[in-house]
Amino acid sequence: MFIKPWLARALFKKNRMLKGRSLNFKIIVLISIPIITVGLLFGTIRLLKHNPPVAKIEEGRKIIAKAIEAEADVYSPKELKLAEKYWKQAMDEWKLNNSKTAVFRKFKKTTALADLAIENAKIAKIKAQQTKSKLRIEVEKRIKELKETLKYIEFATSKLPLNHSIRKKLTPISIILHEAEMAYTRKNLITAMEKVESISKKVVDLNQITTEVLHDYFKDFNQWVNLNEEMKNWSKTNNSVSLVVDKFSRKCIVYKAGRKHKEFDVELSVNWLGDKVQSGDRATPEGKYRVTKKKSGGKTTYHKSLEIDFPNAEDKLRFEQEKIKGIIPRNSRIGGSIAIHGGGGRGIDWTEGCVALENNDMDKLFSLCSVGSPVAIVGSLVSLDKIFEEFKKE
Amino acid sequence: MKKIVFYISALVLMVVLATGCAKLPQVELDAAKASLESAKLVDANRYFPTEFNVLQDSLNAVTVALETEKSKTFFSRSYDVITEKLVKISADAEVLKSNVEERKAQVRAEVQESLVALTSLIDADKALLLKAPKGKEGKAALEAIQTDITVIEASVNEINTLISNGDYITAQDKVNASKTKAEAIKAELETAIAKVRKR
Repeated sequence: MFIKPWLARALFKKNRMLKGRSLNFKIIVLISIPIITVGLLFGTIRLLKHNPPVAKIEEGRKIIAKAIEAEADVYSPKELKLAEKYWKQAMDEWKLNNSKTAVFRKFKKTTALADLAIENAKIAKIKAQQTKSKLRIEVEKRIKELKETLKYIEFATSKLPLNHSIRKKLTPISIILHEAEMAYTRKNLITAMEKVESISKKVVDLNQITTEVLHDYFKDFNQWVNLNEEMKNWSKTNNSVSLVVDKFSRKCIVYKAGRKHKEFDVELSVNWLGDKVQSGDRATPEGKYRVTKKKSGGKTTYHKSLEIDFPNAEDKLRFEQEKIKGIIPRNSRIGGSIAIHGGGGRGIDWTEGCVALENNDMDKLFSLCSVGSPVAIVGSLVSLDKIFEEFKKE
Repeated sequence: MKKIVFYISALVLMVVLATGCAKLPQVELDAAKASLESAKLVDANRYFPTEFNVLQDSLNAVTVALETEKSKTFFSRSYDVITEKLVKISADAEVLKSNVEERKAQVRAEVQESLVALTSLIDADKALLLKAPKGKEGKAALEAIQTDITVIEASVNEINTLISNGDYITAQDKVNASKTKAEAIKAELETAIAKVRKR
């Protein structure tokens, strides 16, 4: 069969076109296969894989941060540590799963641990806020109470000769209390509370001692008031001068014709608190006496002096009774040579048992008194209640 | 022809792998952790607790972000933002460390200054004690004040120990408390002396 050349050319051209189309198709198919395969593969993985509990883990982290902000590390450390432990475990579980092929990852445990972290962090936060609030109130209250008690003890020690036994203990306590206050100011409530706790018992003990001493001292208050009235009345009846030494106020009151004529500051013995018991106890006696001698010039060491009749009959009787009771040793002596004299104005209690006035005051008192003038030495003319009313006002 | 197809497939795979396998910022992560740890070692959590806790939380947040990326399909992972954040944490931790050192030096200087003032106050108290009024038995009252001074002197030793241990905040509290007491003693003695002079 003969094919015309033009037909042969046309057929050849068509065949080439068909071959070209087939090649393009093959190329497209061959490129599409790996792309589709990869797509299908990732699609399958995406469908089959489990998603990590990112939101829960993030929530756990945020609540832990909030708990730390609320100082849970200080006020609820146990709960916070537990929350942090669960959160870390959740993270570790997540990391472990991330090291596996996507389709084999499971986050059930991670979710459970994240939930536990959230729960414990919430507890830690709330507990920290509550503990901190309670502690702040408690520390503030305790510091205030301790400050008031120390102020009371300091007030009492300033009025009473309690220096030797109480002051020694008072100073370290007041330093620690100050430290507690500063820790409180810095909002370091734990340290503040520790410091408060370390001194509380000591303050209670000191307060008890001080209160006991004061109450014991003031047990004869009514008697002192009566003695004062007696002196006032005596001066009125006899139109003369009588003296009352108020040990607590450190005043010497001069009554003349039933009225307070003068008042002088006095200094007493170191252990002026309480009545004189025996010789050498460096206490100023309490009771009703009379001026027995007036000395001046070279006859006295302290400018001028008014000697009194200590020990009087009452003192001697009490002294003997205390010896019998065994309160004081049998070989002890009652003592004597008690006077109201000059040489005062030293700013402290310093005598062996006498009452000391500044020399100028002593001159005035000396001229007012005569031998036989009655002298009452009393513990206080102001009641303990009134003294502490004054303290509370301060 | 088959060769062409093979080359194209390989190229597609390489592109996918190259874009998908982003590098984990392990070096930056380790550096951030180490920076925070060293900040803690210099007491950053004590001197600047808020700043330290913020950094610690930032590191935790970045760790979460890191694992989130790791959970993604490999070609969609990106650590660029995380790396930036880790670098910032490291830098912030270093700044915090230097701030702590600065604050510490400041507190140490303050404590030492206060300690000098306290020592001078103790000396002043001792000098006043010699001038204080004494009677036959007045020494007993002064002995009590001497005891107070001894207590304050003992606190100076405690303060020095606290300074050498680097516990400047506690030392500051102690030095201030002792100073207040020493000042009170000074005032007490001055009043007693003035009282005598006045009379």
